[in-house]
Amino acid sequence: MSVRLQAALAGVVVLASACPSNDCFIGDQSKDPEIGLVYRSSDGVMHELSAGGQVPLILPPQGGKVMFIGVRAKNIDGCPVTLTASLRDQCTNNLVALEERPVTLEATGDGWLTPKVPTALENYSNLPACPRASIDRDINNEPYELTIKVEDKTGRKGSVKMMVTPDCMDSAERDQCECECAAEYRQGQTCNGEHPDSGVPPGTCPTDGGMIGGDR
Amino acid sequence: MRRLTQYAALAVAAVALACSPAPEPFNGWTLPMLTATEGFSLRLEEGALKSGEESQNCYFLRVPDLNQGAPVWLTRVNIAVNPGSHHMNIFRVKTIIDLDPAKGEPIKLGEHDATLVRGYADFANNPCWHSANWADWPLIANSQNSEPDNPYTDWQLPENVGIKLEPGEMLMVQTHYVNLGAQLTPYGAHVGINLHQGAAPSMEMGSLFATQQSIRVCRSQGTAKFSGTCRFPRGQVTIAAANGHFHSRGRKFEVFSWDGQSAEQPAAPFYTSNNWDDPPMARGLDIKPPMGGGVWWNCSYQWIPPVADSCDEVNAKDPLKGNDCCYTFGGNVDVGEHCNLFLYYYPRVENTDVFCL
Repeated sequence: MSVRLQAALAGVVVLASACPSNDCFIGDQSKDPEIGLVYRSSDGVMHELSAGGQVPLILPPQGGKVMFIGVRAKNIDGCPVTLTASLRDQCTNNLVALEERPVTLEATGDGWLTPKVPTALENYSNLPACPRASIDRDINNEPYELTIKVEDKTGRKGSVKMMVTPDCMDSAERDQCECECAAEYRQGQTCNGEHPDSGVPPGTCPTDGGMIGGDR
Repeated sequence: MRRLTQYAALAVAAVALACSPAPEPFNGWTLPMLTATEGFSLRLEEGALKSGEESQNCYFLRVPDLNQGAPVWLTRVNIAVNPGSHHMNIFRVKTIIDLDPAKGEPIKLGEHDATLVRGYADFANNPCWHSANWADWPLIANSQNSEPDNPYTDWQLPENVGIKLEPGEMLMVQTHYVNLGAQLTPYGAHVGINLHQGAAPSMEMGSLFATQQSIRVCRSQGTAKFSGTCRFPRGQVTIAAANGHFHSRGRKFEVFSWDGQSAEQPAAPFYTSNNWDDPPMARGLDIKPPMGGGVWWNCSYQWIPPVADSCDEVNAKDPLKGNDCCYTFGGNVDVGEHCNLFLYYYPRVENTDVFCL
């Protein structure tokens, strides 16, 4: 192979590696992925989520209550990303829930990718919240640590961790939500407008009574 | 020439007929009718399914009073099914949401009075197909066996462990038969259940039912994997049995013991199924997750086209209308997918079973 041909091929390789892998990449390949969080409310609208924010607990088709958490991202390929969401109780370091799924993101025209169909449940983590066995505090109106990890098919990764407060505010059946999301709720228990009392003052850990995270 | 063409067509038809796989031979099943001292027996006769058909039924009955008002402790569950059974689940009935025993037609299950809500194949509208009740209807037992060679799921509970039923308590038995694709019902739908009682044991069996429902397996992406976690109530528990449930796009169902804190997938599963139409039920397990822990489960899929229906039906069911032949959650085998974990543990602590979504 001639030196000139080798140089030409090398040039093509360099150019190819500098280009995004396909139309689903948005941003700059030389930079780390940037991740922001969003959530979907019960009316199907997507909202930005910031640290200390409230996230609605919503009745999904299967019953119980979930939080629909998604991402806005750039410097990453959105077709698809693997989205891993988890909710941790900082009082005990236990994970209340963890969920992993493929999610497709789409360019919005402002340099970011967001859930392809923002109204669709499948384009968010359906992070289970209630009922959950073996929780030490209520889920509703209590601060928890939310972690979101994103990885695209080329292995580019990003993550965000923040305190959030799950809340029954958006639930059509608020009483049922508060009942199912109480620490003392047990599967099969009938909720008659009564909320099982965990005996733990709001915003405190069960053992030391201290405030959590300072976000409340 | 025309006659030659007719002969050729006849020959092709004859070869095709000769090459059609004959159903595996099946000699039926027999279960003895239990006496009240031994427990109670249920018999569900559902008859034949047409080719390409599936059917789901929901039977409701009350636990008979076998012990003058004292609880019935089940120490063995023996379920027999004709081939083609996709699942058979027994739940305790709690909050009524749409699927209402009072709206069923009266029927006898063996000698026991019951009501039946027929779900037919109406997965879109019939409450027997819907899952809203799963959140607070604890699972008691299940079988996904569909083997002609061995139609029995004979589950002997561990020593000193039993499933506690209260006399008069409402149960729901859900059957689902499929007669299409790889899962056929050539001998009609017929289920027998023997619930054997024993002496009151020292520990109660609990159940864990976990489900991933916002799943999506699309043609353009080919593969998809969904994972979830589920913790047990407080205390040390032992996992005794487990089985996973998905449909024909399902390639691998894995369940791991999990410490309740790590966000990384554990190393080695204690349950793996690569078989959607006759998944194994692991029994005799002795898995002890760390205190405060639970299980991590994965459902991995490979997209394939529907067998009896078309992508038009799959697209019509897709709430996103993505026109990408995306399978979404649904009980109908050909156009819907599942990712459900059935698991049994002891002791049942904190007076609760576990549901995880």
